[in-house]
Amino acid sequence: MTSGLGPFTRFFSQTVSDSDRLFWLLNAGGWLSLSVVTYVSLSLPYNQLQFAYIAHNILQSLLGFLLSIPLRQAFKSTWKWGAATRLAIAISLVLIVATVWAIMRLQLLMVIADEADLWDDFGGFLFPSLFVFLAWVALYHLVKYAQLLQSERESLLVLEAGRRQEAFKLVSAESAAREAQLKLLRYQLNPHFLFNTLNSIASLVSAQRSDDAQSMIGELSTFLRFSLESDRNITVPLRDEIEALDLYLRIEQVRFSDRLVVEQKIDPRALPEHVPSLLLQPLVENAIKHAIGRAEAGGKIVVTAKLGHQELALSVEDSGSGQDGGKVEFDDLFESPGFGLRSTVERLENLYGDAFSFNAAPSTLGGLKLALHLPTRGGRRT
Amino acid sequence: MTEPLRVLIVDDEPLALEYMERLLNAVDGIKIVGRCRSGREALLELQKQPVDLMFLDIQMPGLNGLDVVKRCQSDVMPAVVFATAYDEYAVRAFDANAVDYLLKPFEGERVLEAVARAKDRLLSVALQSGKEAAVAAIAGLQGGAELLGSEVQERPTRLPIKDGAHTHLVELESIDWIDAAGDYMCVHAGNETYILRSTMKELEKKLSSEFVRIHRSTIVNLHKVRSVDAIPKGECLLHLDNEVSLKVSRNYRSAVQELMG
Repeated sequence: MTSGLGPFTRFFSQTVSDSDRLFWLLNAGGWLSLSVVTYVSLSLPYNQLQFAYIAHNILQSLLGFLLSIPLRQAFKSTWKWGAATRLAIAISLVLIVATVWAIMRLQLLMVIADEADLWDDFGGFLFPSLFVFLAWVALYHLVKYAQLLQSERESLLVLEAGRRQEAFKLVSAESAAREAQLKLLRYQLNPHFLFNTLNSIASLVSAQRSDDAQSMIGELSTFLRFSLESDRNITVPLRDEIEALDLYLRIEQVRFSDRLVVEQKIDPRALPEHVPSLLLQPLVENAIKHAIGRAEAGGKIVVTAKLGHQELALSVEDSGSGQDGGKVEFDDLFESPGFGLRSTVERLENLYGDAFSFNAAPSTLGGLKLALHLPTRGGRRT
Repeated sequence: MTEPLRVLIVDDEPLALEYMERLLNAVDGIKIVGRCRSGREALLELQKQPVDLMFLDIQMPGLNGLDVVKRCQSDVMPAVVFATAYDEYAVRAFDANAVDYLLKPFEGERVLEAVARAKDRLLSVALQSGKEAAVAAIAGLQGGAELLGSEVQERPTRLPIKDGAHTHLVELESIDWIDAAGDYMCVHAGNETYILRSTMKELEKKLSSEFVRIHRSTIVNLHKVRSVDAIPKGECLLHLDNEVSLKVSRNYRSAVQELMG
């Protein structure tokens, strides 16, 4: 950083761009070298070592330096013009500036070195001046084009890096999706649910209620098969989803008997609409766990599906645990792994990007209402 | 022959309750004296009649199985066999404290074994109460707290209970009752039960005069008693707020005598 530098340097480094700094450096260096070359090639061999000649040498470089500033401005402001125009401008400018510089140098020499009239020798002054400024213009353009090439290469590199970043993002998004699938599968095969259901079946068998046991085994198998077979990234018609939910609910109904009341308000028009497979079941399972599973008197769960304008509105609400008066820690709701909502959100993100909404709010039933808005096929982005 | 074992079954799911009852009916030497579908029912039942062995489901609405153990008066607590579908942490704690448990789905053989084990345990006089091992298991699950020494205070109004880095300052007047279970004391205040490593003597020193002994392992805050019922054998039953009932043994009856004037 620039903290150790003086205030001027700091100002300079902060306000002057890199290409500006390079110009001043090269320009000053160039004119200084001209002085050195002049000293070595003219002053020394001709033995003009008096102060006047050395001063003239330095002053003419300074004048050249000053003249090059408007020259740069002119090139800068005409940079975007056509090549022929710019060539014509360059030639005329070199002629003009070289002439001005030649006159100034000549005049300066007459004043400082007290030389006699040198105007007859003007050609001898103009000729090298032309070369000096031609060289200046050539160098200026050389540096400019080198810089351009460099920045183009850099932007290409940036582009390439961006492309690689995109590819990386894609890969990590895919792996996140796969991870969500695994988590969901584990969640679906909730061991509590499985073992409690097996216990219920054992109970039915011991009571010799073989028909009930048989149908419960059938429902459990169908539900497990649906959980294992359904591809998490594939959507199914709401009709199938509700069917899977019914299988699950029939099992829970046997377990909880009179304590569990389920009401479904499904708009028949919504049935053909597609939803992610096994989307509702974890939400209903949550509701059962947090409401019926905690309230001694049991509770009610309401599942609704409505078809709106280019969207499908789904909701799962429950009557609450009756312990905390319906108070729910909303902040924890989507984050805590126990609630299982996080994986649902991840799945929806994978499928719909941000074209969906998923909210939790207190339900009028006393518990929690989870509301989902999904784009219908008509309103989906792909 | 010895008396049959008096057994209570607690499970919120009717099918699971029936199943356990059917399995236990096949076991000799026991008598099912009650079935409860919630933890609260179970606590009331335990005050109503003596129970030797309780089959207790862990996952229940309202008070779960662990809550029932914490809130049950030590002096009426039977031996416990927990029942759970899937609860690896609890199962580990039970194993460590030699508390018996059954996994769902139940198996007849395993139930038989649990009853046999409970009989052995009840015959040996070593076990003070059924609560002892179960509370040790719960303390293993949740971490037992400790009482902070506060000898400097002349007349303490609060009980400092140190739980890890956290210290609860429990107002003495908020404490309903306290019972002992082996190395642990259960301090019941409102809906909270603090399990702490302490002895009855140590704790009694920190309590004010309204706390009196009503049973070998039970102390009650007399200010919290709402009504008193006389029951047979010279015992009586105290009813507190939150539907808590506590048994007073004959030996300690004098302590509550003055309540009745």
